[in-house]
Amino acid sequence: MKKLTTYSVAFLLLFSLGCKKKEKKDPNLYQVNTVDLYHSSADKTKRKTLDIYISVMYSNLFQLAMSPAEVAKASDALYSIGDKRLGMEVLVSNFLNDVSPQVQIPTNTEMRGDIDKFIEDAYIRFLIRRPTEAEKTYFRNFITANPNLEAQMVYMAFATCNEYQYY
Amino acid sequence: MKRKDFLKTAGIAAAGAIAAPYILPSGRLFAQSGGNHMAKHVIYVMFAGGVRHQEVIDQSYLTEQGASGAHNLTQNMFDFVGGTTNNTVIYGPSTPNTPINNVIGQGTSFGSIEAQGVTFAETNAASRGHYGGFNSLIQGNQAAAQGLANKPINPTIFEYLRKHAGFAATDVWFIGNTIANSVPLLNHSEYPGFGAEYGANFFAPSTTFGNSGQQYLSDAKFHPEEQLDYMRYMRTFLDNQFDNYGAALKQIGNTKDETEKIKEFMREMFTKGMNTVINTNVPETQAGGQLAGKGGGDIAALAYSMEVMKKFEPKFLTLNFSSVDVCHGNYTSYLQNLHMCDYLIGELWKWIQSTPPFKDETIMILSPECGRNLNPNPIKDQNNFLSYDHSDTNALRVFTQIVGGANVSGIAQSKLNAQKGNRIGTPTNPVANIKDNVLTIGEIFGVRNLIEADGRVTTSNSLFDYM
Repeated sequence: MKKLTTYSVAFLLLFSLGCKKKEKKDPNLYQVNTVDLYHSSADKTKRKTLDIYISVMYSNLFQLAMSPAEVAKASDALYSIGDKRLGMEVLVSNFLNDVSPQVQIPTNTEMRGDIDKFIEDAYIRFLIRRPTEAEKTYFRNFITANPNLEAQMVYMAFATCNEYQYY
Repeated sequence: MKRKDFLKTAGIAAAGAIAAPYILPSGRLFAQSGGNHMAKHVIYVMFAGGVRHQEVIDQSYLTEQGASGAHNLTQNMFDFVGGTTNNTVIYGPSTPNTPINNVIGQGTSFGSIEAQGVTFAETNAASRGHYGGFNSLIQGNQAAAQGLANKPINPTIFEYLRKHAGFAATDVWFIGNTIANSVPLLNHSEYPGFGAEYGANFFAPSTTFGNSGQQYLSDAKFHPEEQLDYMRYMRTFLDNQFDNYGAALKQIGNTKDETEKIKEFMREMFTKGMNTVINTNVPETQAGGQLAGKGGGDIAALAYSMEVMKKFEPKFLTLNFSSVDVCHGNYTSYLQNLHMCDYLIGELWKWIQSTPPFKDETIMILSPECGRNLNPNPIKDQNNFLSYDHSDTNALRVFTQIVGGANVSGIAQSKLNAQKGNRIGTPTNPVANIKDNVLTIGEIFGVRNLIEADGRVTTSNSLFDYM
């Protein structure tokens, strides 16, 4: 029995070490570098162009990439409106109405089930930083105090706020 | 408190609120009545794209091209120089002669802009280029250092009016004919002390309500007011946090109510559709008209300007044309577009003079941003007509027209009446510069001295000074 066990272990070692597949580097494989979160909003000093804003916002809302042609078209629409914030609200509202694909937003139940997580996730998703304690407290209190507030309006606030225009 | 005392106190308080002056953004006290305004509305048309003096003022376009006869391409704006009505338009031997309906010109009950107003027939442009010219028209400055694709380097008339006359954001509009050529950048400068917070609301209707807008702006989800209020509270918090650490980003400054009214306007426009909006406001685009089925930036700019006027009744609205810029390579198309733009002006002034609250209460000013060369380039069109660029001194020769309704007041009334129907300026004695339009508009709204005191206009004249 002891001999059998020894042979089995040796056999497994032989296969696991000796037959290890040589990994080839795929020349067409592109990956994303790990990027640290911002420490605070003060780190953001550059204004996003309309193209960048729309592209990033679409990715944040849909968790999908927008094609360059579509980004250009949406950018034209936003460029044609003088009040950019108003234009952004209308654009976000259009995205919220899309059926396919649909925006990826937590449900109201999910938001209220774990408010702290919802806040933290929203800050990281949109502002690429963690909320300060004061920010977390404000949102926790605001969401709790307003039971009719919908999660999508929190996302709209983030997607149209000034900090989101910067990186 | 007794009911009688309460009513008395409330009445005094209400009267005080109405009568009391309030502090303007510039920090100045200003009467709320707007009593020092010479007109309730000013419509400012940047009749742009590069308009050659010879076609419009001289009406000599055919003789210059080797053909014969003088004809009036711009019959709604100008009377025929031959002295008698001549509404025949001849584009050239290979192009059908299809004059557009004469709306207000000679032979109609209205009378052309020239007949009703004052024409500065030999005016200097400040620039030979489009963007420089646009900037001069709205900055009142030569703007020699103005870079292409950059915001205006000096405050614009939009900002002067909002800052000094206390106009609300939806009182001041700019309707552009395109998003090309940096036109959307013109609605405000980034000059210190001015900027976005005093800027004009802007649409480029051919894009805002065209294909791009249709795809990305027309299907906005409806949010109840309560939800929008929540959103604004949270966003204000986020903005305040960012202002503490980062840059404060200025916005146009539409109030909550103005914002929702603009959104409502957009929904209404998408529901109507562009064809309906254009057909309604520009009758010749309807079936059987000379512009049947025709669209384009200039027509859309006019049609949506009229929609903005109906909805917001702005105190000041600027719109621009530029389709005549085809003159670089097709003179015949230039003539056709010039004729079309003249028709659009005719429709606009006719509509203004028949539609409250604009009827009799409006002053309209129009100028090209630059002219065109004396001599042609070698490019020939289907009629063997040569084309014109804009780089020589002839490109600095333009015109300005100003016309007002019956109820305008002050020197606007006295001078427009005194000079009604006159042409001011000759080739040997040019009068006025397109830069003067800014102080003219400022004077109409009672803030000329404040604009001059800001020190960023490079003229000390308004058009009224020359009358």
